[in-house]
Amino acid sequence: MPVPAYRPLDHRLTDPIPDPPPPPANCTWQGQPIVCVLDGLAQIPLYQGRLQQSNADRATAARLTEQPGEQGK
Amino acid sequence: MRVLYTAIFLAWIASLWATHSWSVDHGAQQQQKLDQQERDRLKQQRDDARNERDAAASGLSALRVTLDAKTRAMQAQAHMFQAVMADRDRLQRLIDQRNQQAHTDLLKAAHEAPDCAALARLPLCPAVAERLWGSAANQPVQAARGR
Repeated sequence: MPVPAYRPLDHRLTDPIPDPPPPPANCTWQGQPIVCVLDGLAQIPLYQGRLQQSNADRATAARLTEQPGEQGK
Repeated sequence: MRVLYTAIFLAWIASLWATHSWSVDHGAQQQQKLDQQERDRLKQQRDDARNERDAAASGLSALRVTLDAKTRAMQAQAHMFQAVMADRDRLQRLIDQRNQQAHTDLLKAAHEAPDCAALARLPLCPAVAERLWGSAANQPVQAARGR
């Protein structure tokens, strides 16, 4: 029975992707600095980018680990 | 009588001589036979050794071909791996640039659009900000501007 040999993935595909930096506290609430709604909403594209980067790495990992009989899965 | 005895004696000498000759010939033949057997045995040993040498040489040659093929396959795989990771790095940079640009464009559009002016100074409530970004979100980075 042939045993598959697993090749370790490059660390770039398995290192955790860091969170985007938090938005600046450009507004105030009762005299205290606080994040503005607009700045909070503007974080959404940054998180979308992290998700796209994660999905791209998953696709790369699948491409590197596919066996000859599984191409095109 | 003397003639008879002489004849008998000569006959005995002749038989001795014939027996000696026969044994010398027989011994020589036996020795030749043994020598031939020894030569045949050594020849067989030499042929066996040659056959083993040839079999080992062809086995080594086949092994070398197999190892060379495996080396080439591994080199091709390493080359493919490097190419895939180079593509991956380019794609990651592209995604990061595109989304940083989207973030900047969104902020610019929001601050420039009159409909969004009211949102420009609208703060998040502390409970939500704290749960989304922890205490780091409430650092007074721009508080000195008094927005």
